[in-house]
Amino acid sequence: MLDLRARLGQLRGQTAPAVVTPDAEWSERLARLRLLARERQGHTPQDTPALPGVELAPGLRLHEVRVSALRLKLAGLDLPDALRPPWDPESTVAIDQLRLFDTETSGLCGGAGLKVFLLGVLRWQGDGWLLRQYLMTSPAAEEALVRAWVDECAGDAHLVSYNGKRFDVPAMRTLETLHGLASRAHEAAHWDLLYPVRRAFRGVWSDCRLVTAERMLVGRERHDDLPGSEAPRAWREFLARGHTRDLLRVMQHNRYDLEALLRVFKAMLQVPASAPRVPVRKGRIPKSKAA
Amino acid sequence: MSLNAVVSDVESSFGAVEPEAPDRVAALVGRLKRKYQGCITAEAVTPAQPGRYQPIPDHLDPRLRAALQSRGIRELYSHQAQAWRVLHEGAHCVIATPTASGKTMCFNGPVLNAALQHEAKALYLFPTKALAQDQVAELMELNRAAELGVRAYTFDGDTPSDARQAVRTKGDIVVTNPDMLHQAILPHHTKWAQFFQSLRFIVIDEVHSYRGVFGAHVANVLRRLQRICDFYGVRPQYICCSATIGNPQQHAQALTGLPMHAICDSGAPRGASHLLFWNPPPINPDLGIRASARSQVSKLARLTLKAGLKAIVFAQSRLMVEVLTKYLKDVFDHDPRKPARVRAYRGGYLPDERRLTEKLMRQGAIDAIVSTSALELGVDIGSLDVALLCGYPGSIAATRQRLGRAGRRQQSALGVMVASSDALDQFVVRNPSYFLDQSPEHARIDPDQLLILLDHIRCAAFELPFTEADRYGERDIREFLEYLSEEGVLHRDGARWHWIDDSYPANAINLRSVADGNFVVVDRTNGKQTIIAEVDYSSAALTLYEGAIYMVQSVPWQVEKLDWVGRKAYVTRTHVDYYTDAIDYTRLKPLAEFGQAQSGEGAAQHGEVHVVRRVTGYKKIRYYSHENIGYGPVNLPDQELQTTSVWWRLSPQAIDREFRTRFEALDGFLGAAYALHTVATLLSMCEPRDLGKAVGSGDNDWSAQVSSKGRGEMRSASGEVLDVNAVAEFAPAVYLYDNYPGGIGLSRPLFERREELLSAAIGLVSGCRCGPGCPACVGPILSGDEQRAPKSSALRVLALLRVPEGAAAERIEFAALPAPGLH
Repeated sequence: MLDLRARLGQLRGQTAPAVVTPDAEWSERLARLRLLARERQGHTPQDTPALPGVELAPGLRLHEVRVSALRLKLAGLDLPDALRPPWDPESTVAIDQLRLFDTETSGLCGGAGLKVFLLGVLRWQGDGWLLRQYLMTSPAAEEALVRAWVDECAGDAHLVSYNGKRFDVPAMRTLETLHGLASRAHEAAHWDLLYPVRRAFRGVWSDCRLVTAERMLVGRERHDDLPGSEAPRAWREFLARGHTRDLLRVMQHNRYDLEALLRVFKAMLQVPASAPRVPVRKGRIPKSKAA
Repeated sequence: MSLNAVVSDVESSFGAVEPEAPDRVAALVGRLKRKYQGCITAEAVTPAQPGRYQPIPDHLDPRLRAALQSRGIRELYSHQAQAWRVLHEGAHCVIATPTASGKTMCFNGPVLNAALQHEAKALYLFPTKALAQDQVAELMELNRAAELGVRAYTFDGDTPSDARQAVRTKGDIVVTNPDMLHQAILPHHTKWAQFFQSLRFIVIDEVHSYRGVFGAHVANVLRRLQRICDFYGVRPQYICCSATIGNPQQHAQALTGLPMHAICDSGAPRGASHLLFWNPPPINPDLGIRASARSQVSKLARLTLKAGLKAIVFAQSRLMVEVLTKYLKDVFDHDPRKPARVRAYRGGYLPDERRLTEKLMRQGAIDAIVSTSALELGVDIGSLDVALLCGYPGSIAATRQRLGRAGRRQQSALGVMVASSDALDQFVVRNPSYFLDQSPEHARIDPDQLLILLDHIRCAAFELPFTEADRYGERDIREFLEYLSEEGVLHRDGARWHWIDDSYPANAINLRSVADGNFVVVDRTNGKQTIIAEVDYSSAALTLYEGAIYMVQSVPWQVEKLDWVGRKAYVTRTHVDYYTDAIDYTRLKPLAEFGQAQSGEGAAQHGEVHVVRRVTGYKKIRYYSHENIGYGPVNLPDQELQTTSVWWRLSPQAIDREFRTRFEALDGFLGAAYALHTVATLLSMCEPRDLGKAVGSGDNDWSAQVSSKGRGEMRSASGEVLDVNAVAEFAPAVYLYDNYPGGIGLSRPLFERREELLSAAIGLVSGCRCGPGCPACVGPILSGDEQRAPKSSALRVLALLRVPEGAAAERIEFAALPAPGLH
């Protein structure tokens, strides 16, 4: 026993040289982890159609679509020049202040790691709607995207969204902080249609998602739409392998959403704020079909 | 400690002298020494220490000075004054002074001062929610006393979501725990931008509890915090507090990655303390069988309570807490009409139950509390007179922390360390100077543990993109970033790596345990369904098998059904005179080798291994007599673990030459494993459970363990018992492995110090005074087995593995050894 204690005493003072260098060992162990990684897939030309628009900054594309006044009338996309919606009767907003917007993101969980890769904005310019889609083809362009957002929100801009207060605006604000841009974009006036829609139709419709509002208020169904939940995968697919096919469908989905937002907005202008709740009878609740 | 304690103490040092009370602790010590002299192997007395005081420094804000004065504080203890000075000069510091020495005031003073004068913010980290809530209550008291207007809030899982915004923007002091920092604050740092921009102090209390796997996780959370602070352009000062450990400064530096000023000399007064080392009397000296520690502790607790003193009893396992509580309740709580005098406290109890026990202890309503290490941490339970340790806690630091639970400012205290028959306990109790002369162990962490590092690099990349030039800790981590890019989680764009995954990585990483998913214990007695306890994943297989007796406050429930997938155990109330203990065995397969060296007539290797642990059955053990009254089978999934290990093999030629039979050789390997494990625990300064041991063939063909009948037995990979002589190739290996997924950095130093380890193991076994072998050297053996003499077999194995001194060893070609499968 004394022997052990004496030896332990000696041992404490000693250090032995490293036998294996940690970095070399790490490489080997990482290499073993790599074996578990999934196999890469090859790609075909159909996967990579060209992206629309022009490069605004390295990694940021801008795609613009104009809809002229005549076509608006025909398509029912026209709005009065001044708007005073029933859910906000105190305000009067001119049509050219409106910024209808929607984003597509790398996920839904929030936090500093959430990337906004597509920002769609619909605004009135001259005598028609101007639709702008800012697409981030490289995460390095994030700052440029945030600046575009801040510019869109500048002046007397009035935001219109569907669930933008809880999701899109906080996500953009996180990005502003990350890039040290102290803007007041998050303070811009904002009509989030989810709230008036919910007040009027909760318990009447099966849910209050945008696609449901579109179907119930406008009577439109989408057919070839890529579900919004597929957007994160489509963007990663593009970054990893350059596949653009599904990314183009995400851009189309974003345009569908903006058009739906505009139509729901227009329809909601006609729904009195104190809309009487229609009693729901079991078995007659319209079920949502679109994802 | 509570501020009230400081106050009452300061008051008493200025006010009237308390009347001399008869020293009941000294009287108890005298009685024990007279009656049980043969059991006491050592006694140490620490004399009472008067307080040393220094004036409150001039730079203190007058409002804070007034607040302190309104609470009767006109002076500081010398270590408090030193801490204030060091912090005023801008250094980081770690304060390691004994329990109840006023550590809290070391950081509250400077933090409140900075909040008042510069609107500076502070982040407090406590290891548990309960400690955090105590802390805020205390700050608020001081705050109210002088209307300082400083806002301190807890931020934890219980904070309602509508209050979180206020905490983020209005809190001057935010009190939280590492888990919340990891899961809620850092990943959402932009919401906390305002807080981080004014962050001036980071207080980390109980840093000694951040060791091992948990410590490695916390060190990485702090690296991430540092990145966020850099991003917001602040360099906060760190204030760490620690219980007594051997390396407070080095540990705090390892944890934070920053240079620390250490303050270890307490100026707080202390009463005298007595420490007794207690070895239960021998029953059969030849076999090294002694009276059990639990019976001795139970006797000492009875004597303590009968002397009118309050006791805390520390047991080594949750099971032993329940057994000891039952024994004491049988004596003191047999009348159900009276309030309980004895209560149990351990992990697994629901928070409300624990809070209630804490409160009853503080009020002095309980005379004895029986606890696991759960009470080592600074949970405030008031002062106690006597600390009884049932078994050596495995480290000097843990022993001192447990003993430190007894002790009041003006009265003496007693601590008794009662040794069990384990090798480590017997070594310590027979060699008291090992404990008394050594400084406490060093807290060890390995923040660069591969899997933990990878997990936190994920989280860090989510929080802020990495650039080419970024370091994380001290390391270049480009290789990790490339790996994560290949996985599709990161995307490299020029010089930056961006997070592009759709997940929230912190949600998948639990700082406390590696395998996720606690089990809940559901009571189904009388048709109701009530949750009575929670059990962590790693101990579920050992405590919740069907047929197990599960105890809460020593009340037995029987497990009727275990839903492994749903993580639920259904129990019903039962009345039995026994408890149950699991029988398990471990097999092991090497996956890769990092290093190997010749070791005597064999080889020592270090590498990565796959460990499978299986519970095969359980024993029923009767209360008081501790006889084995039956067995039951258990059928549960294997527990798997990939970790790092060090192992030794002997050449088959040497085995054939030196041992008459394979049984003898197997005994030798099992005994050698036992001795090596004991010595490695001491060398690594870790707790015994951190390090696993196993004996097996090395290629997963078979594993060996001591059976319930006390003999070495071999099992095949599928678990059947094998005939030793029926195995074609007999090449046993002894393994010591890190008992955590991915390893925690213990086995590499053991490989590097293998020569010392073997010498020390030989010293342990040959120096033991027993005949054939005993629990103090190669493990327990049963009567009638004296002829097998596992002790001499174990010595032969160890001697063959050691390189002979002086003579150059004959080289053994590794190719000649049966190669363990490297699949």
